[in-house]
Amino acid sequence: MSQTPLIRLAGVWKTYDTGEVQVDALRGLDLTIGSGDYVAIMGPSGSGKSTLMHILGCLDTPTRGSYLLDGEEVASLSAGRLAKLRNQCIGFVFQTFNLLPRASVLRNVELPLLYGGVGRDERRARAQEILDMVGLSDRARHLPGQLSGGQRQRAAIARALVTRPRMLLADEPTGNLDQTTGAEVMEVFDALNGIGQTVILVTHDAGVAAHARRIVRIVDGRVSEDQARAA
Amino acid sequence: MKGVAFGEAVRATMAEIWAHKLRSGLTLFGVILGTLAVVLMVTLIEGVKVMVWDGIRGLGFDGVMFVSARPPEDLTERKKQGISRGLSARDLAVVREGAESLQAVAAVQISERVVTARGVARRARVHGVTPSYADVHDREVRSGRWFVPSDEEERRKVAVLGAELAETLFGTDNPVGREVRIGEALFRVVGVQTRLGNRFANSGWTRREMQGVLIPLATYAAAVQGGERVAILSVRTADKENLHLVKAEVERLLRRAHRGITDFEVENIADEILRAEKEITVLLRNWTIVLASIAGISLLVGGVGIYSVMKISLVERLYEIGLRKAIGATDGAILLQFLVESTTLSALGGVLGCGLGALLAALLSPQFEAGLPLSPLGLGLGISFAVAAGAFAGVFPSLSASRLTPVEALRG
Repeated sequence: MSQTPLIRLAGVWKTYDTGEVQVDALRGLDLTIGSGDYVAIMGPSGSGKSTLMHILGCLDTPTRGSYLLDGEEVASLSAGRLAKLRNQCIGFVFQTFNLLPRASVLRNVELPLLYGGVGRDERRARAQEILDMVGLSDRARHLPGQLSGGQRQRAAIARALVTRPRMLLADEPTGNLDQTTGAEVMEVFDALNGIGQTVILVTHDAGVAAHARRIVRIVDGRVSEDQARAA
Repeated sequence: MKGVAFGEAVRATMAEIWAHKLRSGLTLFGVILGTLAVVLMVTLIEGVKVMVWDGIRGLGFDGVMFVSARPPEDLTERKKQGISRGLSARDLAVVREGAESLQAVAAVQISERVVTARGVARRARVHGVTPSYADVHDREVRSGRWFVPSDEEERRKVAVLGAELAETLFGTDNPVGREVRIGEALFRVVGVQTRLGNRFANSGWTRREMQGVLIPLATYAAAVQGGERVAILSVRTADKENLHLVKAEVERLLRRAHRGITDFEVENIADEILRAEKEITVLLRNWTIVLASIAGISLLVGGVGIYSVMKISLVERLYEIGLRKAIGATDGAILLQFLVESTTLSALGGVLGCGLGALLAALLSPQFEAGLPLSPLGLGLGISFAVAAGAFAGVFPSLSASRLTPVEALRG
C-alpha cells in the first residue's frame, strides 16, 4: 500500500436542505480506503450509505469536511476536473444497470472513452477487449433490451471498467438480480479484485458483503463498525 | 474531444428523433409551416416583382417623352397662334437634328375608325406612325414584319395589327398577308405586334394600341386623314439622369420652330415611370417586410413548440443526463447534445419546409408568365430563421440540463 491512501474522508457532513427541514445524511463520517481494497458498505435504509457512495463517486460534494482522493481535495476541483475524475478515476455501477436503451452494448461501453476523448479505433478495441473479459463479446451489437438482467449488469461493469479506473463503485449491484445471476456478477467483482482492482460496493445483503475483505457498517451517517475479514 | 462529443450528440439526436417519431413530427409541423410561409412569401413577392418590372419594360416608355399639340396657355401667344404652323411631321427633323441626347424620334397621328376583316367589324384606334416608332417604344412583331422606309415613301397600304385586334378579327389564324378594311380603304396586313405590358403593368396608351392598328404615317395622310399635322411626337433619350434638361431642350427647339408660340406640351412619361418604379419598389419592400413578419410569427410558434418538446424531453431524460455525467460527460458535452438536438429538429423542419415551398412554387408557376423560380433569399431566410428558432428555443432547456449535478439528475 502506498503512503497516501486512495480515499480519505475526514469529518464529512452532507446536509440536504428540503426547504422546511434540514436532513443530515452524513454526520462527521471518517473513512480511509486503500488501493486494492475490497470493501462492502452496509447499513439500514436511510443510514446514508448511498449518499456516501455518491460522494465517493464525485457525483455529489460534501457539505462540510474533507475528501481527499489520491491526496487531492475534491472540494477544490472545478466542474471540468470533476467530470474528468469521474471519467478516468471512477467506474460506477448502478443497481438499475443504467445502459442507454437506444445504443448498442458496444456503444454503451465506448461512451466513457468517447467523453475521455479517445480516438475511434482505440475506443473500439478497448471496448471489445473489456466485453471479452466479462464474456459479452458475442452480444456487442445487441441493444440492452435484448439482454438478460445479468448480461446487462455485466455490460454496465464493462462500461465502468473501460477507462481502467482507480476504483470501481457499485451501488446494490445485485439488487435487481436473482440469486444465480447475482452470484455470477459477484464472481466478476471477485476476479477483478483478485487482479488488484479496488472495489467498493454498497449492499444490504450479508451474502454479497461476505465476498468483500472488509465490511463497513454505517448507522445514522457515521461508521459504526469497521471489520476486516480473513481473505 | 469536441469533434468526438459532437458526433455522439448527432448520433444520440437521430436515435431520439427516431424513437419519438410522432412527437418529433408534431414539433416539426410548426417549423415546417413557418419555413414554408417564409419561403413562399418571399418567392411570391420576388415573382411579382419580376412580373412588374417585365411589364413596365414591355410598355416601351423607358426614357420616352410625348409631345402633343395644345392651345397656348398665354393669352398674348394665343392671339397670334396663327403665325405658328402647329405640331407637324416637319418637327421630327427639328428635334432629331437639334437635340443630341435623343436616341430616336417618331411622329404619330391617331383617329378612331371602323376596322373590318372577314365580316367582323370593330371600332379601333388607327395609328399613323413613322417606322422609327418601333425604335422609340421597343415595338416588336410576333409574326410578319415591321414597316420599312419604302412603305412610307410609296405610301403603301400596309398595316401592323395590335395583338388583341389580331385575335378579335382573325382568332387563332395568322393575319399576315390577309386584307383588312380601315374606314373606306383596303390594307394588307404585314405584321402582328407582340403584347405590350402584362397583368401587373399596363397603360391606356398601350391598351388602345393593342386593340388598334398601325399604318405608315404617309399612308395615313393619303388614305385616312389628310394634312401635315400630327397628334404626338414621341422622343426617346438615353440620358435618364437629366430628363428635365432633355425636356427643356426639346421645348426650346420646338418653340423656336413654332416662332415662339408654345402650342404644344411635353409630357415627361419617363419621369412618371421612374417615380412609379420607386413607389412600387417601396411598396414591394413593405409587403416583403409585412409578409415575412407574419411568416416569422409562425416560425416563432414553431420555436415555442421546440422549446416545450425540449423541456419534456429533458425531464424524461434526467436519468440519462445523470448517467452521462456519472461516466464523465462535462457540462459542455451535455449542453452540446441538447443544442444539437433542438437545432437538428428545427433544421430538419426548415429543409422540409423549403422542399414543400419548392413544390408549391412549381404548382403556382403557371400563373406567372416569367415562371416562379424559388427565391434564394427566401430559402436562405427560411432555413436560417428555422435554425435560429431551434437554437434559441434549445438554449435555456439545454443550459439548465447541463448545469444539474449528477446526483440531482440521477434522482430525477
